[in-house]
Amino acid sequence: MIEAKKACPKIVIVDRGRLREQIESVVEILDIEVKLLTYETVLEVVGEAGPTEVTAVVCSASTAGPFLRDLLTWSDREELVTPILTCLVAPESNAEAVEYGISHQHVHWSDSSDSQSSLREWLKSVIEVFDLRFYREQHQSAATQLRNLRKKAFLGDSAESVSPIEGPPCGPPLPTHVEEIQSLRDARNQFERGLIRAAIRQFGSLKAASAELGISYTSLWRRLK
Amino acid sequence: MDAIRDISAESVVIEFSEINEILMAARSNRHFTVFVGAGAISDILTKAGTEVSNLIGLIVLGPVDEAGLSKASIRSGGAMSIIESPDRESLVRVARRALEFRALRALEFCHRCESQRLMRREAELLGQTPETMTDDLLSVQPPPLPVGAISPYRLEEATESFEKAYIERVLHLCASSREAASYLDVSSATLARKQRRDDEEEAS
Repeated sequence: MIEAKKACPKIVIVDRGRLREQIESVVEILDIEVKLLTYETVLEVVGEAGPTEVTAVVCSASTAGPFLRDLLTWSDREELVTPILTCLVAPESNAEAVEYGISHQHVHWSDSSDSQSSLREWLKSVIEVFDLRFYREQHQSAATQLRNLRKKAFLGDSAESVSPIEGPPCGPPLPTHVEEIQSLRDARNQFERGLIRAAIRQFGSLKAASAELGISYTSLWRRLK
Repeated sequence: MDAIRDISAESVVIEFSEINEILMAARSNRHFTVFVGAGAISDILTKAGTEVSNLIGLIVLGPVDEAGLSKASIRSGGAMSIIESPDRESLVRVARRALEFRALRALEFCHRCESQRLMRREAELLGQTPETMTDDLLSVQPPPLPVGAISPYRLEEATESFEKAYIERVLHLCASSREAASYLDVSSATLARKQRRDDEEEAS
């Protein structure tokens, strides 16, 4: 098994004020690891030399000015599978920017007067989206490898050995035909196993995983056996 | 049949006479390998070729020329292998391959489902409300397993939520609560109690 390397989310800040400091303080509170890139104009971001593989963008309306449209178009451009999470920091009085921002599904509006708590919630979403993408790619890669092996098994080719990445755990799929229905006990057990594996993968030790799962260490040990 | 029974010491051998039974086996979550007589393969491939051969290994036994068929057309129709004169060794080899194919398919399906669940969760976080997402039966799945540092991992709550989704799906697939209880291997009273509890939770 090969352990997949996980980078950290890349967040672009477009601001000439103190937005970066606010975000750094939220990052510290949440105890998360992120890479912050600060730009003073929208044009630096959307230009050819702009950042790549961006997870999220946070931008103050005053800095973006009339280029807010360009930034939002860039964050939801066609070549992206899913849009870049975007947070617009603007006072309620800037109705034009606020209305334009919230008309986009991927844009979160943070009122300048209470941006700290709003940014905290938004950053939690950013982290979750980043993790979701990372694990989704792993699932897709595992499924592709399995599909290739299945095709070889069908054709009778001898399959060369593969070293799949340490696969993310899967919950059981819901049945789509009556023939696929498992007993409730079996389905529950399969789900629990997936959840326990996910917690161990995330927290590294059985002790930490049991605390997160809300069960005792002994209970976790028994379930694993 | 005797040769197949001979190699299946630890497996269950079932004789199918209807094409629907093969389809049910293919769609079930058990590991099946289907051995088909050369005389019957043409009919099976015409009626359910692609669906069955994507899910299960179809092995054709017996001389196909006598049945007026060509090997190429059977293989391209979806059969995994043709054994004209079956012997123990060739049957074991092909049965093993077909079971491996089936197991790989099951694992692949689990990964694809989980990937789809993660995609749906991401869409939710990006502001797409569930109303704008598809409610197609094949794509609706229980929530994804937790993925990161700030995901909730509480075992009891997550398992309850999964159980609720599972029961809802089974009730949707079955004609009655009694039938659902039988598939879930619980009593009707237990199922009714779980449904009442879920309804109360939703109401509160």
